[in-house]
Amino acid sequence: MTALPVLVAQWFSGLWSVPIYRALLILLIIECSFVLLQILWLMRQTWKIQDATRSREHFMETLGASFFDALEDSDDRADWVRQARSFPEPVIREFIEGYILRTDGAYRELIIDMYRDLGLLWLDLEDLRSPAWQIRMIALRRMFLAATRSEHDALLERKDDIYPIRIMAARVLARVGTAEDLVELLQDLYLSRRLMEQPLVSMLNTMPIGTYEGLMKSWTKLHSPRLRRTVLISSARVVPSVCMDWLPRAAQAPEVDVRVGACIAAGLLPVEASRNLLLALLDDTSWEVRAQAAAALGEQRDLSSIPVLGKLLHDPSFWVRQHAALSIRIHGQEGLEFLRNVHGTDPDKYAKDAAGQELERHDLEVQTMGGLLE
Amino acid sequence: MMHFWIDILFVLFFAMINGSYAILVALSILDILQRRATRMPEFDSIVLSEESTPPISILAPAYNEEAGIEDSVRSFLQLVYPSLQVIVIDDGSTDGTLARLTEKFQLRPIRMVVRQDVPTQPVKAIFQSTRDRRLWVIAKENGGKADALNVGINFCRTPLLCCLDADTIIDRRALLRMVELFLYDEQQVVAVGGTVRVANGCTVKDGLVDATDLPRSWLARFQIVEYLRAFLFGRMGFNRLGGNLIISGAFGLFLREAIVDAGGYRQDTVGEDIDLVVRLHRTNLETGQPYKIVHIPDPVCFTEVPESIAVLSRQRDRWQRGLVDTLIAHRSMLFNYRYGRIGLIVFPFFVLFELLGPLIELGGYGWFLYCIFFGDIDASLVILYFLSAFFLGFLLSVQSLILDDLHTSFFRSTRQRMLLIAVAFLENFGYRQMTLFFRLKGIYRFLLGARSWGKMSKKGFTKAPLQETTLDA
Repeated sequence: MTALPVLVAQWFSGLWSVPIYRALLILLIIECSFVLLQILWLMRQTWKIQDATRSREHFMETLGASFFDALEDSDDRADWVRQARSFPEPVIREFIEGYILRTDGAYRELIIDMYRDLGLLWLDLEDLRSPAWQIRMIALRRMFLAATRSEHDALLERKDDIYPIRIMAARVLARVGTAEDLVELLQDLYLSRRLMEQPLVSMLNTMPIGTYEGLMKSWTKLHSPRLRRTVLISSARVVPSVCMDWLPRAAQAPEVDVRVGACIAAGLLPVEASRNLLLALLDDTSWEVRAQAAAALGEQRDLSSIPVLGKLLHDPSFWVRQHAALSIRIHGQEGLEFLRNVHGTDPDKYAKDAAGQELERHDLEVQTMGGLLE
Repeated sequence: MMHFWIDILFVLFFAMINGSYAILVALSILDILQRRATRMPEFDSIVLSEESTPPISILAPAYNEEAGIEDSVRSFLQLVYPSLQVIVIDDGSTDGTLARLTEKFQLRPIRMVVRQDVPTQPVKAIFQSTRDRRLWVIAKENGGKADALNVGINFCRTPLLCCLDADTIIDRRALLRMVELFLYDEQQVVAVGGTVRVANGCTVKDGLVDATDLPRSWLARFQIVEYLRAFLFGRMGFNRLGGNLIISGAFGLFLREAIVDAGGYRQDTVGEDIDLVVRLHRTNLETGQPYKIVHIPDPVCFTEVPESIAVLSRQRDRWQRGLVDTLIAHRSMLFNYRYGRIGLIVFPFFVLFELLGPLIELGGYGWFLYCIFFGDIDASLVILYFLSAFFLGFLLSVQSLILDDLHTSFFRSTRQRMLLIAVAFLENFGYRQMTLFFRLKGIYRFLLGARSWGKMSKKGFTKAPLQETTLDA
């Protein structure tokens, strides 16, 4: 029985003496060690998961039920925070962040205070100074919920950071900062495509009216045309009179994106001045601007626009014709009548097609409504 | 002397392939950690409530899918996304696919002007559902999956489109996760691929995955480890090398404009998904347009993998033919500095390890047999070489389980993980050799001119009877 280990040892030492075998043996030993380490690591992670589950359950049993009672009284709150500190940080975070996300008003303020008392905001600020941008990003995502005016300076320090971090910092500052902060953070931001406007629209939607007015004052300082157009469109909803002041300038802008933005904003402001501006933009050299101006005129639902939109049914651009036809349709019976007339008598095949398609869509919508009512 | 050089050749290949995989593992760890920081599920409610969230069209080509089409469409309509339209393209089905859709979703014909941005077979009719206005169905002449997708591309007017297989189960929040890349990445993302998971063993309820577990079939278990390896380090690693060449046809989110610029899906290939991604790289690099093709580790959809060797054989055969076809069609990119890292690193990687790899591996086995047959063999060297190759393969498989743990692991219990480690160990004894044979068969059949999809059968997610589906390109 003892002969086998001896034989193996002899074979091994024989191999070790030859360089090529020795190299392969070293490779094998390294591989086996790595495999073993990885398996051990995986098992450790598995036990950590189980441990975290147990901690979470224990936390819920101990402090879950008393959370809302603690919110009612400052002593209870301090006691709750003291007890919570004995649990692992991820467990507390998971619990408290969920409530910050789902509450509003005074309750939310109280929970944010608890977040601060637990030292979690302090940890976020530490992470925000990390050299690893991934850690900074996670910190900002957490601060989006819990930051207050006190964290303003730390957020503004992110103005030279990478794109997603600047966007995140701007989203937090929109709530707790000033218009000047936002201009400083965003003025040289470059949006490479329109899809990237969405987070900025979200940011603008959370901004107080006072900040909006300040931001519009610095509208020309924003370098990116897409950013300017986003701010302009949002302002039409929140501060229409301020937006109106900027519209003529936006309609004359050399960048197509800004002129398109001017059309959308004008469509949201149903006044004579914006209608005239849209009528002028129907002759723009860019098909995108013409199409958007046609769509915006439809939004205003002014019957006197129908003949002008009718002319656009002969536009060389497919999208301008489609938008014009849709705009005519949404004017109601008069619009439908106009489209029927074009579809029945117009010699231009493209105008006929555009009108016909909108009439089909109208019929289907009527049927759909019927289907839904059934 | 020749014997020496052949030995050197195989050792070099061995060192290169495993060295490349080690680099990919390191890169994918960095990318997974980065993704952990940038995925923002806490903002889902904001994205869902915003009018500015970009609309998405789901393109689902269907051919003779009468049995499952209703469930698939219902699951697509259940996806959590604020602005969504589902476009089912009936590719000239000969069964009752269209009738089933008409009956269940109350389809009404509508006359639409559709611009031909990409050439396709004629469209017979367009329908919109009166039950759910987000659903559109296009009936067309049979022209294959790629042609059906091209029809959908022409029809949809949203900036983003999602191409998927009608028989996959999509995670309800998959679109929210994938769209994040288009919203927050400044490097002009044109396509995003997500990680496809194995549905075998999972419990499916109302078109959604309710619980995940390991399947009973060992063949399916081997494929779980294989999918983790392929998606989590194979594809993630390439993100930092300029992007990979494959976005699974099962689920991908694309910028419509980029697909149209690339000419849409190629119709005369069974690898239309890989071909499209290669052409996206090619078009953007040739025009000097900044772009990015990204793979994310988030599990976006579940697919049922074959549990029979015959079906697995046909699937791998088709994948390999698609790959060979695409790599040959775009061979001018190989080592071409004009295509940057794609031409100098990624494309050569695919040619050397994915196209020629099976042939070199076969050569290795052949050389081993030759040496045994002629007695010209150093037994110790062979044993050590095979042991180190075996442990390296095992190491990479265990590594993929760790990558899975770093992001979103579905297998979290000790039992499941021990079983997966056993699967990673055992797959080296037969399964790998079997898939090697299927890939070789694919190359051989490609050389013979085979271009059909082959017959696929699926067991079904529930206890439905076995259904046979033939997909002819």
